[in-house]
Amino acid sequence: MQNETRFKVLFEAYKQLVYNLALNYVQHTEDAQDITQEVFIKIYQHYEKHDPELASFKTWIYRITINHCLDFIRSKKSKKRFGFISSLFNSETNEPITDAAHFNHPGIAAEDKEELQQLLKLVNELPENQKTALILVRIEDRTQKEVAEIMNTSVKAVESLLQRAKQGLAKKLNEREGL
Amino acid sequence: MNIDNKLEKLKKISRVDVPPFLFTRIKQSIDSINDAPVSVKWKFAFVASAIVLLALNIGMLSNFSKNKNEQGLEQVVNSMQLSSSNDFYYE
Repeated sequence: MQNETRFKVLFEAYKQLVYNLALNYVQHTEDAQDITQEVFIKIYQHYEKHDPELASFKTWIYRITINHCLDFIRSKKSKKRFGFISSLFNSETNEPITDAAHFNHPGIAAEDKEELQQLLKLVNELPENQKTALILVRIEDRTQKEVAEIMNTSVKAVESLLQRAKQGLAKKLNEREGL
Repeated sequence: MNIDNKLEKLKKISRVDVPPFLFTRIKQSIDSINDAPVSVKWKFAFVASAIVLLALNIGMLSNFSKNKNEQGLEQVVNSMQLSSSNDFYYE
């Protein structure tokens, strides 16, 4: 994209979408800012590659953001694993950051923080596609049809993903309450 | 508790504003990418041409030293009036 003004207009139009979606995935403001930055750099570099016949611009941005969020979480998990292995050899360095300390979602009110933190922790343990479907429908308030388009799948498949996500969460909640 | 009721609580998550400095940060990153002096493609081309030049130089040097040795031997043979031919007598 060559036109700076055009990029600024695009940023203003989609910044909320990208930042809030990233925040719902990683639940940390700085990480969400980093993801938003990477997403907009990608949009800037690959703007001409977007084919409106394949997907709408909004869907395309949703896909880029989701892929960046999932890549970010994967790389963070592998770094955490490496940190744990290193800490076995050197206890003074590379201590893994605890999830509770890392949780920082400004969209959650203080009175709901503890409960939603517990719930989002369980959501984070779901398989990637179930987590994506759940975030898009339950938090982002997208319709199943929109989610199917974003995830490049059928509405039936989205329904199935949501059903399995619910079953998975119910099982995890029962296990937790049983302890 | 019903899982649907539990999941309804996710609706309590409200949308937040993007930090105002984020656009400047993104713009700076884009500018630094645009200002990158050499692309990977050019770097690869430079390394490849350097390797070719080095190989040519080594080849030339080894050829030159080989020729030099041959010339030196001929000089010694001539100064000592030794014949390098297989003939018995000078004509």
